[in-house]
Amino acid sequence: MITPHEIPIERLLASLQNDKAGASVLFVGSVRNVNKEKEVLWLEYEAFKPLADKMINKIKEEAKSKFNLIAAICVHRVGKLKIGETAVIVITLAMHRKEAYDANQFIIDKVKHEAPIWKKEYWKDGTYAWGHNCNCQLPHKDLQEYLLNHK
Amino acid sequence: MLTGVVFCGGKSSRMGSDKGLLQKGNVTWAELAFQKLQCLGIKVIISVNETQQQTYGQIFSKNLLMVDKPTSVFNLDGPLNGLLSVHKQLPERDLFILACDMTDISIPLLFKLKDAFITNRLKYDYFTYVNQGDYEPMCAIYSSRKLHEIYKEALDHLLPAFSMKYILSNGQTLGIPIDKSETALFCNYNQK
Repeated sequence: MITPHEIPIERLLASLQNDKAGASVLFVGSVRNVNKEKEVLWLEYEAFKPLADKMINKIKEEAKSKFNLIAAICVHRVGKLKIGETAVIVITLAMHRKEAYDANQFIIDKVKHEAPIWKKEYWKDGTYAWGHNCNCQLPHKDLQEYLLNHK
Repeated sequence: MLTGVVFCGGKSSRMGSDKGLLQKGNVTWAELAFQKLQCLGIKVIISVNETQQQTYGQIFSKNLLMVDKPTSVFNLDGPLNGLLSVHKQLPERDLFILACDMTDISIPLLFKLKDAFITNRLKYDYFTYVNQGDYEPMCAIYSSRKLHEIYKEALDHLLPAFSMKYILSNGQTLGIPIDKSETALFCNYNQK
């Protein structure tokens, strides 16, 4: 889900307690102070919330089924974020660590590449740039197909 | 196929300078609009008039610049001349127009318009927002098939009115109402 608020990591982790789970993996994506050799001051995220929420849910469901997960959570922040703040978290619970790790990476990769979320980087030299959420800068390849198939 | 077009060709007589070269932070308005359209995953070009070509060539790669036809070709002036000039050079492309002076427009709003276009492109000629009862012609998508008709009418000097709003009012236009809270995002900074 998309939220403008600080992500309550501990509360989310606690909410997923499950006796069947032998493994819990937590990924935390934070704002770092350098990108492409330029000093970053802060970031601003924007999302098309109705579709981003829907896509994140779909990605989670896909991961649950593909990796036999017990539970999964993904939360992405929007708005202005300072260096060190948490921008995104993914938590995956599975019986075994391999599934929990693989599913976690699957979810964060797909959310970064496919969900309609954009980031604006403010650099120390006073310039800034809007771009895709993922640094690979590939266009949202699957998004157009998703829009056509999920109306 | 959709192509983004940043409109920089306005005369900016009220601003007294070229709007696309004004800066927000240390980034020109033209670059800001370009970045936002690029976030939609579409090819983006810059529409300029002849006098701007050299200056904008220092900011953007020359193959991204599309220069307006002389106003005498269509006997049109202003943005409609710019729109048809781009259409003439990219006749198969549907055009997503964004004026460089709409500096506050958000990417999600642009995305929502693209989304509406993808879903309804066979049903409508144009896609835009409706702001307090008026279309927003400078943040709108124009279909190539309808532009082709308008282009022919313009060449024959058959267009009864010369405004972008007239075009939108006389075609099948999908107008997306905007929330009151979003009105400020559509501000055109065309006055000092």
